[in-house]
Amino acid sequence: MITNYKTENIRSCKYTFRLGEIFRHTSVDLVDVSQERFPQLTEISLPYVLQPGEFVIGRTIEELDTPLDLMSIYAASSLSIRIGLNILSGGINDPGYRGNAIFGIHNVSQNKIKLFYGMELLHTAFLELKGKAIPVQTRYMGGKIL
Amino acid sequence: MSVLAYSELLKRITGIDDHQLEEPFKILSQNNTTQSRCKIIKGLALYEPISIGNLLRKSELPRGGGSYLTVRKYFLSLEKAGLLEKYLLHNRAVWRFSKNGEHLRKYLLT
Repeated sequence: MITNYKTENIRSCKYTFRLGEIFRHTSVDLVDVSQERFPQLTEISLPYVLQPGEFVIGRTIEELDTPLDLMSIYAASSLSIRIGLNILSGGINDPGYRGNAIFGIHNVSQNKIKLFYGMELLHTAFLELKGKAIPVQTRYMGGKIL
Repeated sequence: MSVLAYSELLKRITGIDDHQLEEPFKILSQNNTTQSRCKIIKGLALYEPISIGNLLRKSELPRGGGSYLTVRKYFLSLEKAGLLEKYLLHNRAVWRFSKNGEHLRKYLLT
């Protein structure tokens, strides 16, 4: 269900992910999803000091292999809220998804915040499904960012 | 629809059923398992099968005669309780987890 996991991160009723990699958008004239015009990404090495207002995309160390009888819901860790990071996520991990969890990290505080390898910013709760799910088909399978 | 709680997450993610850990932990607590002995047991899970001397060396613990005898006595008590077993490898006594200790070994490796 999860590879590269850490047993200590299995908590009361959730799993807490660890930050593995971060990426930054490079600026483009226009992002137009209908024309498949996406921003380019540059990987940034960790640790990294996130400036106030700066936004990066995070990829977890853990990889999910979600069985068809489960789904999971992503949520920001309370740590991220306390230090002023807004964690943006797709919200739902679909049955059948394989790959890392991808999330946005936006510094909404007035302070610089250091991001480091293994930082716990996102967690997920798994829900057992009733009935049969259809495995998700997505271009982002495998933890692709764009 | 229900949310998976700790024991179910542990089982699904690591393959370890917490009920299967109750007996091994009971044995450890009944056999004077101190903090440094926890380190030895974790080392055994990592390096088994291994002799006590090599285990102490790899775990970076004192290797004097007293330490060796204390660990040997501890391992013998765990062997008697069915958690560990020893056998001869190239005429040296090496230790490993027994079948009853397999779930504990898996848990210690995670």
